[in-house]
Amino acid sequence: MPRIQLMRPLGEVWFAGAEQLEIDTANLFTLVAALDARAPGFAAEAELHYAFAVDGRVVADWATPLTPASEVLILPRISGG
Amino acid sequence: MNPPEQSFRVVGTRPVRPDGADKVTGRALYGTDFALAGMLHGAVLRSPHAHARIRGIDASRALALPGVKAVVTGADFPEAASVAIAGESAANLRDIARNVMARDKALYEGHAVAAVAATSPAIARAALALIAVDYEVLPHATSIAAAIAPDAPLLHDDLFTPGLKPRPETPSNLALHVAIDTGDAAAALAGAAAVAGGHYTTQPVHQGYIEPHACVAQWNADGQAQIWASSQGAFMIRSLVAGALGLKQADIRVTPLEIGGGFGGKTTVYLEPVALQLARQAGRPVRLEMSRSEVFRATGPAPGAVIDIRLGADKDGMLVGAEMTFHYTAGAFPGAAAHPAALLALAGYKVPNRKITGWEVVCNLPSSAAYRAPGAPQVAFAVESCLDELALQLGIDPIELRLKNAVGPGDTGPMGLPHGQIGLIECLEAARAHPHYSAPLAPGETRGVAAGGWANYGGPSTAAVALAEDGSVLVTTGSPDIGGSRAAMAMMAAETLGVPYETVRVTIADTASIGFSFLTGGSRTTFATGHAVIAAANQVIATARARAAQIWGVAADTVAWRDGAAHGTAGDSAGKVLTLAEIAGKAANAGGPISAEVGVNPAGWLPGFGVHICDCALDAETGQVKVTRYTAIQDVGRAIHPAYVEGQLQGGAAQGIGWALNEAYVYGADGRMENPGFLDYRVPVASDLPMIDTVLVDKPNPDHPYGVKGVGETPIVPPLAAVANAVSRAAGRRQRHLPMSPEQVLLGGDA
Amino acid sequence: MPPSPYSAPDNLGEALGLAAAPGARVLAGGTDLLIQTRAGRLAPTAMVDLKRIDRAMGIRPAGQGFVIGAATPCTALRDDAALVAAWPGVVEAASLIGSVQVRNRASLGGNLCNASPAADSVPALIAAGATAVVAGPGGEREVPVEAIPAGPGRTTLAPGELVIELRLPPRPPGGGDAYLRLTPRTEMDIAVVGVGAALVLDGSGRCTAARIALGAVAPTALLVEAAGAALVGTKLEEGAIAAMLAAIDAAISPIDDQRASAAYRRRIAGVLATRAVARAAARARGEQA
Repeated sequence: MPRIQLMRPLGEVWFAGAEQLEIDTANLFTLVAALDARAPGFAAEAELHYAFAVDGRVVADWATPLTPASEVLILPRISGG
Repeated sequence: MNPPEQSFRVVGTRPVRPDGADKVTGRALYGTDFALAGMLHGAVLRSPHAHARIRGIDASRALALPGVKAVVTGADFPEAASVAIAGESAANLRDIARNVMARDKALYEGHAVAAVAATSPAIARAALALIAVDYEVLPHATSIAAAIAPDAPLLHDDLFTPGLKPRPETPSNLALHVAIDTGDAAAALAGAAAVAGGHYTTQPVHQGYIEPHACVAQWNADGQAQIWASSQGAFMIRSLVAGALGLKQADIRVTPLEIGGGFGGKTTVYLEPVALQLARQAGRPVRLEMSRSEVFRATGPAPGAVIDIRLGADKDGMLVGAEMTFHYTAGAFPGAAAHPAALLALAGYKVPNRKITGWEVVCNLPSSAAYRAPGAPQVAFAVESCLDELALQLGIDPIELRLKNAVGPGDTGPMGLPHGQIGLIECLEAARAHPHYSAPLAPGETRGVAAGGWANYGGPSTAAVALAEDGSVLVTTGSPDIGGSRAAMAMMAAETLGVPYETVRVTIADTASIGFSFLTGGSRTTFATGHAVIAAANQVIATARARAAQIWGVAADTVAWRDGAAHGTAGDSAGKVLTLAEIAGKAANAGGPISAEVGVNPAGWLPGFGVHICDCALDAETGQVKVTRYTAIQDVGRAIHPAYVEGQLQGGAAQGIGWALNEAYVYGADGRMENPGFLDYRVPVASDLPMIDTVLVDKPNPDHPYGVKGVGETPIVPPLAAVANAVSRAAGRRQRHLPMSPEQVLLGGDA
Repeated sequence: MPPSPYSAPDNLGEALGLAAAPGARVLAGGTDLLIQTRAGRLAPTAMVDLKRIDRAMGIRPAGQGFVIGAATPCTALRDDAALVAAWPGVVEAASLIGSVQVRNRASLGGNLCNASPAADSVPALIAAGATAVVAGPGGEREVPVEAIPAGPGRTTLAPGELVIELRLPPRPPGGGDAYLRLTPRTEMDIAVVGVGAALVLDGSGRCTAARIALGAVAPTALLVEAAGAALVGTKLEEGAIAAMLAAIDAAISPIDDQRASAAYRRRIAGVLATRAVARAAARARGEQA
């Protein structure tokens, strides 16, 4: 099952302090939907403010497929001036 | 992972920028140059109070003044929804709407409370004086200390500090809490051979762009709107105006005008929604433009900061632990880049134990905005000063100390991800090898060095490439050109297509004429919009090859593309050549005109790191500092146009030197800004600065076709400490408070 | 900027007539007047430009001394070799105002009558013993420069009066002058403190006359006669300099404002006075241009 890591403070904000979740899911779209079901409002926030790294690299395409061995890190997005 | 060595025809050369002649001759249209027939002139009434409840506004006398065509106040704007907006500064639509026009409270001196449109600027200004605002003046807080004091006046009674667990039960001015806690910093510091630290402060500073904010808005008879404005993103204006006024995005067409500097400060709206409401009410186009005083009093300074830090190393200079607590001034609304500040504070170094706590503080200052690398320079000032102290304590060369601890590819980055092909180590090595670093110092001169980095960004971009009938090339993007990106786009298109730079022309289109692009910020445009231009150019090549194949009657995959022409390889086509111009000329009979529009959201951007070396001479009797030599070294991936990349490094260094030495918002006890002009808000003038030498370190980004890394923001990160480290060594006293004005250096205490 | 009737008469009589109107302001270079009017701090009912009046423009010899038209741009001072040789301190003060572009318009008359306590050229002119020719409805009078400023933004000129010329005496044998100021920036800045010094040394190096004037440490540019007196009869030894500094410290009344604290101004006044005297003395001895 893909392992989902939440960079602080996202776990505290959304998932009662959990910093790691395991969710069986196909890609980042389905992952975000699953997380939004657990924590309503997560998806809207994620679309604007969060970045996703799969196996150590930030990906911009949420269709990126996830395998049972995938490690996903969810972190705040930094854009800049 | 390194791409094969590439050779280039265009990339890396220094052609004249396409927008240059119009800009130096004054022909280019900036925000204040654009005019429409029948246009009215607007003016904004701004609060004279730092904090006041607006009990009522009577505009009847203003409306009665001949020539006045419209007056708007907060009551004329819908209450915008509380919707988060991507970005580092004021990041909520409701806050942006309330910043544009105060509703129940004025939150800083300069906060817009009403606006007028009239047939002349003089009438508009006269009308402002006739608007009666009934203020209930409230206690104010313009400093961090005042805003977090137990009895501090509360700016927002619905602000419960996010990021704290449990959620606070009472509102406060603490707008955000961020924390990073890895390992055991306290224990590591207790066991360190050397510890540097102290209490650092910086003041809010303005981005200092020369062009004031300006726009023209028109409300069409069919209910659609047009806006002409100078900004870092026409699509950003479209999105924020639509959100603030409850309009459909497609009903607002925003045309970008030339921008006279932004540096992050033009990544939000101030005037556009107001101008549009005035235009709607008046039934005529309206221009709004700010005076310099309005720019200072009402647009985004970078946050001021209070930072407490301790940084420890073992006897060999290996960093063992860091503790840092910082507060940043967000100004009137939440958003002060505390998150990137916390993440990037120690991003350049391997520090196994770190405890970083950051707070954003709302206070009665203009709502803060991004400034190049938002949030990073303030914490870098503290960290890089501590590194200088550790180098002195341990007797280690300051570059050597940084090299011992610097992160490289594969090391864990601030997000917990392994770093890609970053170039901090190469920059430090280049600095150590640079003649500046070993040049003898004149008597009385000292040398400081500091490093710094920024995350950079990618983000969505759209570009179109079209062929004219003669084969000349039109590139269209939606990314305002702040630092020479037209030239970079033309060069990347020319490189990809294999045609001369001079045959490519670039247009920055309005929001109705090209697909969406995120704003020009985050050092993303050459990287991300460049990706889109290259992708569109490759689609054009694919079409051109297919057309050549049709013309020759061969399969498309037998047609090669090189040097701007299709080359046949199969059968009778072998040896045949059709140039891009020839293919374009036959396009009408070969399936139609050739063009491609591509939208991308590329990943693979990389952080930028730089190292700056500063020599200064201190007048010990007056405290006056003169920067005598300055070198900025940065890993730029690969410079598409080296001169404009060097310009970014020089500009960032100049702004950082200003931040270090003389720039600061000065507030009186009455909560009013005392220096809202360039006379007393002292950006450096040309004669204050030496030539700023640059070294472009090329460590290409494998995730960009031409190796591009973002460059525009990183160069503002190192200068604060580079200057402070030089001055500290000259003064024999650690400089922990910016700006290092002559008086601060001579008499300033170390609170 | 609210509309102000602008006129540029070519003779002094007409200018005086126009300037006599209530609320009228005299315009020389305009580098203060136009800025302050645009900013809304001034609202002149009329602007009377002096630049077309011959007497207001140019630098003319007067015996061994000089007459400088009140509206002459500062840039012209630097271009006048005889003036530079005779009063280098006055020229260096005028060459510090604003920036190159500002100095192409800004004038000594304007700098004086704008009456900023921080005006750069005024302490230098006072130290040099310059006079101002004041023209008015009742004729002309010649007064010491230090008699013109009355306070920040205020002068002793009567309604309808204007400064038409500044006059510098001949440089005395063994004389030298200097002006130094401190600003955080090199250009486009306002003096935190400015010090003008003019002195005369005899063949043995003994000071026979000295005038010290300071800017930005009092409501007006300030001639500190006791500071000059402390130097007269000395060879500018340490004790004499200390006495001069004591006199300055007693005379000045700096304020705290956003540009600097009073304490810093007080300290810098001493530093710059010491340096300005050394520079003027070097010029008096012919050691420095």
